[in-house]
Parts: sequence; C-alpha cells; structure tokens
Amino acid sequence: MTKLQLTELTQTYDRGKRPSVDALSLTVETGRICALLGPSGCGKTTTMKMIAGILKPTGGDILFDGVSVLSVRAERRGAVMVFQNHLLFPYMSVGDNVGFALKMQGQPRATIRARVDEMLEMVQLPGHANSRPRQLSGGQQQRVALARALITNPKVLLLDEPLSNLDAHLRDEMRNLILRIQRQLAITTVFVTHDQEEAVVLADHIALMFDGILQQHATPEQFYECPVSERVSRFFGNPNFLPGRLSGNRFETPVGTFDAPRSAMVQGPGLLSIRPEAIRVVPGNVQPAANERDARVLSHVYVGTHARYTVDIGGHVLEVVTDPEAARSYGDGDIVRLRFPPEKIWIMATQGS
Amino acid sequence: MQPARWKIWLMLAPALLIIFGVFIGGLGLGISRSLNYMPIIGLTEPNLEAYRNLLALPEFLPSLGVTLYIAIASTAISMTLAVACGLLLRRSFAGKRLMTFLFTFNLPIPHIVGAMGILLVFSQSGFLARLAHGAGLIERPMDFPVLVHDPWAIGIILEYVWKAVPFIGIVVLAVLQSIGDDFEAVARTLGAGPWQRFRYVVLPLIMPATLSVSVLVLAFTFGEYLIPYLLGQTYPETLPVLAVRLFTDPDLNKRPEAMAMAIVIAIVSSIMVLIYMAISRRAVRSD
Amino acid sequence: MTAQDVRSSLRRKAPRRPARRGIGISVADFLRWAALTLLVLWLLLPFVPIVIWSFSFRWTFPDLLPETWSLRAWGYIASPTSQVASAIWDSARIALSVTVLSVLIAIPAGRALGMYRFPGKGLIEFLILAPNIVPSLTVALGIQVLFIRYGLDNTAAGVVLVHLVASMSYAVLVMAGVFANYDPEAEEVARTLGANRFQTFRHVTLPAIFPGIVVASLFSFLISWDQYVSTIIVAGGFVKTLSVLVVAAAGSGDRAITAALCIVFVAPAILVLIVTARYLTGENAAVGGFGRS
Repeated sequence: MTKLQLTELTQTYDRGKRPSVDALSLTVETGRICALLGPSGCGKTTTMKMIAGILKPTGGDILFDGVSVLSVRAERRGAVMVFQNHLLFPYMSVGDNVGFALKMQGQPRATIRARVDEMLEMVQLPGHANSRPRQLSGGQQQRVALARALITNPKVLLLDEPLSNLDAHLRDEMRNLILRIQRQLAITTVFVTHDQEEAVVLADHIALMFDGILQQHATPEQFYECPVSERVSRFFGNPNFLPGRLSGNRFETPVGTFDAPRSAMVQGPGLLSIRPEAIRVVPGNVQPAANERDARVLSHVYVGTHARYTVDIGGHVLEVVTDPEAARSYGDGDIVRLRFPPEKIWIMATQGS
Repeated sequence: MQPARWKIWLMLAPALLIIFGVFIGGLGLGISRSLNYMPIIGLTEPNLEAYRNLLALPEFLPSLGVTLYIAIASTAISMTLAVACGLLLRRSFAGKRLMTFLFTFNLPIPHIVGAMGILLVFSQSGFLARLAHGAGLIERPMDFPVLVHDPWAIGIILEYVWKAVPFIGIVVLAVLQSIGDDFEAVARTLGAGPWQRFRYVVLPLIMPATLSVSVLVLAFTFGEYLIPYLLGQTYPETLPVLAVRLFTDPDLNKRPEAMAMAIVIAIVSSIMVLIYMAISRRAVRSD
Repeated sequence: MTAQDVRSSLRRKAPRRPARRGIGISVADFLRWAALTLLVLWLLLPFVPIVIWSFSFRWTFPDLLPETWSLRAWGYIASPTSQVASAIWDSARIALSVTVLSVLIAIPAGRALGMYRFPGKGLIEFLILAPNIVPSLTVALGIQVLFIRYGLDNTAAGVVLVHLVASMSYAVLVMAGVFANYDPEAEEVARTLGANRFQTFRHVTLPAIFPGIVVASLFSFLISWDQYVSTIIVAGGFVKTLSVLVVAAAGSGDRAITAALCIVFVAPAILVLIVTARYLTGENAAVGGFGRS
C-alpha cells in the first residue's frame, strides 16, 4: 500500500544528448494500476528501472509514501520487477524460484515452503513447486514470475509488457489474473506497454510518453474523449480529423462550421476530431441542421455487427462506423447525411505537443 | 534435406582415415605393445607384465601423485582467477577493449616461451628476485624463495595458470555477455545483495561452460610433457616425463612399461573428455 | 563511405555509459582498474626478461638491466652454424603442410558434423575430438612402431602425420561450429539459379565459411609449429624443428641464445594475434587460443 510519486524524473545517458526520460512527473495513488504507454524507445522501461532502483536517475526524485527512495538500494527498496521474458532462474525449481526473495532474507525453510504454496495457489499453479521452469508453458512461466515477485508483499509492483508474449486467449486469462491479484493485495502497480489496448484494459489510468516526455496522464476514457494532441489521439485508434479554426464555441472548417463546445485550446488553428463511431447517419430529406453535412460514399464494408463507410466530404476522407440498419440503405456513390454531435467533437491543437 | 548417407560418410572419410590410421592406430599399437603383444617382432602372448612392473616401479605412484596434484591445482586456481577476471572485465569501462585484448594476449603464445619467461622471472636469480634486491628485501639469490624446480611445483603451476586463466576467462566472459544483466536485476529487486547475486544467480549460470572448459585444461595439464621437463624437479617426475625417459632408455625392455604409462595417461585423459561431454550436454539441455 | 557515415558509425560503436555525477571515477572503477592492471602486468611480465636477455652479453644478479648489451645471440642465430634458418624452414614447411591438410580434411568433416544427423554421430564426434585431449605423447609413442615398419620414422612426412592428428582435430572443431550456424538454403537458391556444385561452393559456401577457415588455419599452423614431444619421439634428432632447437638451447644454459630463439619462435604467434585482433571480437576469440606445446 504505497503511494508512488515521480518528480521531474530525468535520465540522460550521454551528456549532451537528448534525455531518455525528461522531467517526468507522475503520481500513482495507493493500490492503483498505472500504465506507462508509448512506442519503443519512449523511455518507459528506463522509468521503470529507475523506480526499481536498478538505474540511477540523473535528475529528479522518486518518493514512496512521500519519502525519497533515491538513496535506498534496489535490494532494499521493495519495488519488484517482472520482466517480459519472465527470467525464471533456469537451474532452480519453480518452488525455489518463487521462494527466492524469502531465501535471500534468510527465512526458515518451512516458512518459505508454506508461503510458496500460498503464492502458487494464488496464481493458479498449485502443486508445481517441484517442476523446472522449462517444463512449463509460456503462460505458466509468466505466472510463476508474478508469484516470485509478490511473495514479499512488495510496495510497488512493476510489470514490463506483461501480456505481450502471450497468445490472445492466454492474454485474457493473464489480464484477469493480474487484475484479481492486484485488487486482492491492493499493490500499487505500474506496468509498461506499447499496446494501447493492453493499457486500456488493465490500467486505472495511463501515462502516455513520446521521446521521454509525458504527453498526457489520464483515464482511458479521457484519452478517447479528450486527447491532448493529434499524436496522442492517433495513438488511441483512428479518429477522423478536419483542419480548421476555432473561435469561441464554433469551429470553422473548409466544409462548414460546427458547434464545438469541447476543446483543448481557447482559439486559433486546430483540428476537429471525432471518432468514426460517433458520427451519426441521419435521413437527408430536409435541409441539413446544425452540425449536419452531406457526404458521398466512396466505399463500404458490412461486418455483421456494424458497417464501415468511407466517405468524401468536401475533399476530405472520413470513416464512419454505424449500425447495420443504415448500411442497407446506402451504396457506393450515394449521398449520405452525417450528423456530428457537438458533445462528441473534440478540438485540439495541430501537431503533437 | 540431408544428402545420402554414403555421401556423409564420404565427407567424413579423410578425417576418419587420419583418426583411425594414426590416432587409433597409435593408441592401439601402444596398448598392444604395453601388453607385450607384438607379432611383428615375435611377441605373441599378451600379458600384463608391463603393468605389473609399472605398479612395482618405486617412482610410479609418486609420479602419478605429483601429476595429479599439478593438474588439479593448476586447474582449480585458473578457474577461480578466470571467473574473477570475467567478472572484472564484463562491465563497460574506459579502456575495456584494450584490457580485453591484453588479457587474451598470451593465448597463442607457445608454452615453451611461457616456461622460459616464468623461469627468467621467478627463479632465484630472476627478475623478481632482482627487484626484491633493489627494494632491499634480500641480499643474495639464495634468499629468494625457491619457486622453480621446487617440490611444490610452483613454477609449473604458475606457467599453466598463466596460460589457462585467459583461456577459461574468455569463455566466462562470453557466457556473462550472453546472460546479460537482467537476471541480476531481477535478483536485486527480490532483495539479493551482491554476494548473494554472485552465488545464486551468476555462478550457477556460468558454471556449466566454465567447468567444461576447465576439464579441457585439466586433461591437458595432466598429459603435458614440456613444462614439467623444463621447470620441474628431477624427482618425482611427472608421468609424461617419466614415460619419455623410460622410452628413450637404452634397455629396450623398458619400452613396454613406457607404453603402459602412456596408456595410463591416455585413459585418464579420456575419462576427462567424457566428463567434459557429459557436462556440456547437461549445460545445453538445461537452457 | 562519407565522413558522415564514419562519424555515425563511430557514434554507434561508443559504449553506453551511465552519466556520472561529480568528477572523475568511482572507487569501484579505480579498484577494477588496479586489479586489471596487475593482471595484465602479470600476463605480460614474462616477456620482458626474454626480450632483454636476447640483447645481453652479461647480465648477472642483482642487476636489473644487463651489464653489457650485445647482439651476440642474434648474430649466432643468423649464422649458419646455429641451424636456425634450416629449423625455421623445416618447421614452416611442416606446419604449412599440416595446415593445408587439416583445412582440406576439416571442411567436409565439419560440414558433416555440423549440419547433418546420422547414426553413430556421437561416437564419431568423440573420436574426432579426442586428440584434443589425449596427449600427443601417447599417440607418438604408439605410432612409432608403425612408422619404423613403413620407414616413416625420422622423416618430415612422419612428423606431418603425427602433427596432423591434433591440428585436424582442432580444425574440425572449428569448422563444425561454423557449419552448425550455416544455412544451406543459400546453396539451394544458387543451384536453382543455375550454378553447378563447384560454382556454388566457390561463390556461396566459401565466403560464408571463410572466417572459420582463417581461424582453423591460423591455429592449425600454430599447433604444428609449437609441437615438441611428438616431433622428438617420431623423428629423434633427425628433423630439427625450431621447437627442438629452443628446448635444446634451454637445456644448454645459454640464456641469451635461448631468449633470442624464443623471440623468433614466438613470431608467428604474434602475427596471428595481430590478424585475429582485427578479425575477431573478444567473444569470438574463444574459438581460437589453445594451450599446446
């Protein structure tokens, strides 16, 4: 049960070069799961290693429950890391792997054995204490690595790409396991991933990083609803964009002016973004109302649960996802009326920040 | 898609010709001669007389003892130092490349030269002794400890260690390089201190490869002739030196004993090869 | 390669080091440096007196440097009475024969062992690698009888055969390793493009295995060059290789000449060092380097 705070955390490998992690400030409340999300090389694994104490920051501070841990060695810090390639000690049994931390503390053998059995139960691998790591499947090895990390009730749990190595169906299992254990033990958890889906599904809140710089720290919903920049928005799926200019609550675009009360900026040139699922297809027999425009269907795909239209509106290509009913009415080349609900429109500045 | 079986054997044929012709042939003839079975010169009744004489030879057991001692001591010391060097050299630091190159400098250097060098450095009138005199530590050559031609075979062991430490060391380095740092990082976050990390993580990971290379060194130092000849005492001689002396003895009846001794040396070395292969196989499987 | 390419490739080669706070180096680094320097000194120290002795005339205890320097030892070596030139010639041609034969044998054998499976492979591996371990002494003693019978004793040819056992064994070890990492698909592609067997070997296989051939050749040469015991046993005093001369000099007590001979004897090894230092990285050096006398 630890509150984790990073203040202006920085890591510069070579003097004079761009920092791998640049003045990162982040708070993870007790018992929460936070995802460090971003493309490869964005500094997320470096950050995790600094939290664990394996890497010394070149600037900034790390606080557990308000106390700086920079002077505390990794062995004493209580932040355990589970690597993507589990790294189980190949020459030790599963049980010895799991009980490793307790053995380092010098606990009596009986205690260790009892705790190991407890942990193996928790990760749903009862009775495997005497197996060798190479006898287990990838998913099982991952669970052993988790048990090994949690046996000491660490203050902070750090997971490096916990689901990336797993097949799709195993991924669900593992995700549920991590969630269940994390809730049960209420361990403050940080995990690193490049997969936005993984982040959304596991995390309470997400810290998105590009090039070592924190872009946005918010809940998954907020990333979908109000991303702070175009680059952030693009990382979370493929919204539609229309360039234009914001003044007050209205956004002027080459294809018309939209009511746009929700915005990341005050005024000036920007981008209108709206998810394909948010655009409504409406009957086009009367004059278009506010926030309604006509578009020409370029192509469409019918997928059973929904239909996806690619439309041309004033030279801009948009994607629209709608229910199958509407799909039956329109074909390629038809004119379709689209409604852009103002509450679904989000205005942001052009270019990533 | 492999080629036909006979083609594979054809590829192996020249190597097998040498192996069976010269190597096995030499061994076989040696065994045969040691059993006093040599139809070519009229001996048609194999017997174990040579081996009995060997065991009865007063020098045999002391020679065997000193040979084993030298081999085991050299290998054990080399292994320990090599692991230490591997650990020292693994991290990046200024000048690492140069250091690594210098570390492996003596790998291709022949043992003769190494022996000469050790002799010139460590003998009682050698370089170190003169440095000691310059530092005021000793007065005459006799005051310097006997390190060469001495009963503890220090000179011999020094030379073997001098050659073997880089030989084992680069294997240790290679394994350390391939393991990477992550295992130790995991162990750290699980609370393992530096010595614990070495004992429970690093050592078990490097042991298989280190041991198998060390067995090679062990086998080599056991059967090696030249260094004990140059740097050793006259009594007890090591087995290879004794074997050659018996072989070149004008009394031809000593020949079978010489052969028997050579066979004993070969057998001990072969056992070490088997141990090496067993360890290597186990190391590969446990990955 | 433009200047830009050079600069960027140099940058890539630079090791990543954690940025240091404060000045200079840490205690741990200093200790490491000290330990390594001691180690390197110990590894290189034996060469120092050898070099000095070769240039000395009179160098007694307790002088740290010779009382009188001279080129006497070198002069002796250069003169025909020392037989050094013929010894070098003998050692060289024996070693070269051994090298060529070893490599020619090792390429197909290494390919068979490295790439294919067949019954009895384990046994064959054991047999071919055994000479690396079984002392050449035993083999030489044994094969003498056969050599005497067939007139090979006291000949260079006999010496070549005996050296070949150890050299070839090592060469096969190297080539087997090379072929284990070799992908034969490139050959199949070449064949479908119309290359015959020889062309395939020359243009596809050979370039791929060339580094292994270099290593195998260099160390086969050294193994033969350094051999002493087997040469002495098989060829008595009749074939005087350089190793025989060096050991004889060591027994004679003339340190200057012995030292000078050592330097000559060690020359090919130094050459090999220079060549392989460029060719191989530290890790690959595990492939080479073997203790033999």
